Amino acid sequence: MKDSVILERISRGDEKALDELYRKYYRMMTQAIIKNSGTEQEAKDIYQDALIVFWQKAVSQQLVLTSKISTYIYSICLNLWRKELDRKSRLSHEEKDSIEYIDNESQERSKIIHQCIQQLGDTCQKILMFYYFDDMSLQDISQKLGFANAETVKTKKYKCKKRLDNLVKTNYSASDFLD
Amino acid sequence: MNQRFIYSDKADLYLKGKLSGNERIDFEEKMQKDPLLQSEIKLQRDVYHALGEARKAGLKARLNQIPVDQSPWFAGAPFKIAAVVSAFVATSVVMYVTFTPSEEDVVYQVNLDEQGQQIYAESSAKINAPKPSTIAAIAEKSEMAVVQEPDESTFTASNDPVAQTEVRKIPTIQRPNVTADFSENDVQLDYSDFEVPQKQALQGSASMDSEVAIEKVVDKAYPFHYQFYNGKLFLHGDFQDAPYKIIALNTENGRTLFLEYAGYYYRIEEQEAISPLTSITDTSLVKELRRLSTAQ
Repeated sequence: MKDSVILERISRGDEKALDELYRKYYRMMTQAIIKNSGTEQEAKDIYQDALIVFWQKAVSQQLVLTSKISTYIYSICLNLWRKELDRKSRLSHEEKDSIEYIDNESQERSKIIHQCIQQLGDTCQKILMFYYFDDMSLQDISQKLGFANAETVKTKKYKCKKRLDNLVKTNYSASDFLD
Repeated sequence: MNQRFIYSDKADLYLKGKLSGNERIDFEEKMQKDPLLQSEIKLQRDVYHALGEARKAGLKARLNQIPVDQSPWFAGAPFKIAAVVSAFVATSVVMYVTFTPSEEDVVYQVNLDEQGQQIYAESSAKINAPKPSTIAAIAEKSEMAVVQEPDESTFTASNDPVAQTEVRKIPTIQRPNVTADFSENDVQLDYSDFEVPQKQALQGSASMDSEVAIEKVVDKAYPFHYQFYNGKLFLHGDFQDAPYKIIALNTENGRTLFLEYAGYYYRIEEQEAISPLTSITDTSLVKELRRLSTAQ
């Protein structure tokens, strides 16, 4: 499958194209990480993160490819792995305690919000994720999820978001994260 | 507990980073003045982040379901094919080195085509040629194991690979057909069809006959004649200018004499009458006499 076809399919939010891309370059990308002191699991995580970055940019129509897809993903992999190595280096040399404290609070908040997201219905979750993370247009979401039009999606999105915020605020108040 | 909730498209656009420069500045100034808005945006940032993490987790879970080839590069299909080919080549080389007959075991087959040209090919199904040392030992024991008369058209023993057939004109010697259990009593020589080529006869019995007495006779009546009388050859004429030589050939019919003089050859009949010396015109005979003369 040619790069142009893959990019076109991914930009429409076709997750099967992402699957094929993942399978196609798995060994090449993971070997690059492993050769740079990474473990098999680290290499896999980095490759998946890189593919998601690629996915996000392609779906949000922010990607203008000037090279092969493999070259682009490869460069993302190396950048992410470099950041990961820096993070590991900092963890081993700097103030671990304060970082852990910050991470713990952040993780607690994230956990609450995640639980709230799980309380939403499947469609609500998808609409919010597609809109806020994938940055898909309302029109694309309507086509992907089979809604009548973009306006319907806009209304649905508003209701879903309002419900999520209420859930989060309620749980935050219980945990004293809000005044 | 603060239940106030601020929700607007502008907040979404701000968090997505899609506000223009001026709109963004205005929105941030508003946040500075309104702690509730500031707190709300902070909350929304966490929600955005959590939604993103949830989406990533969903995508990762999907990717983890995809079967991928996690084997190392040398376990891939191209390497496997290359490995099989390499193994096959290595096996072939070993088989070739192990089972190719050595030069000592080379076997020969001789075929003659209709034009009398020798065509030789080696074949494992034909005659086994023993080692030269074996041949020598057997020949020594039995004096002569196999008699094969060499012919004018000669033989070629080829060491080329099996099944290669080619026409050769270089004369060489054919190896005799002998067996390991050869014994002296088995030798039966049959010379009934044996014919000695004429050349062999000439070669074997020719000699420069110095026993023939020669006397030169200055005789103007017979300027270039000869006479054989009382076992002595008389040459009539002037034979001072160039050396002469007598060549005697002993054949089944008796002795034949030839005179070589000034590059020409003359047949000498052992007769008493004075006869003229007439040069031999048979080129093959002249050629052979010249060869004998130079060989002596």
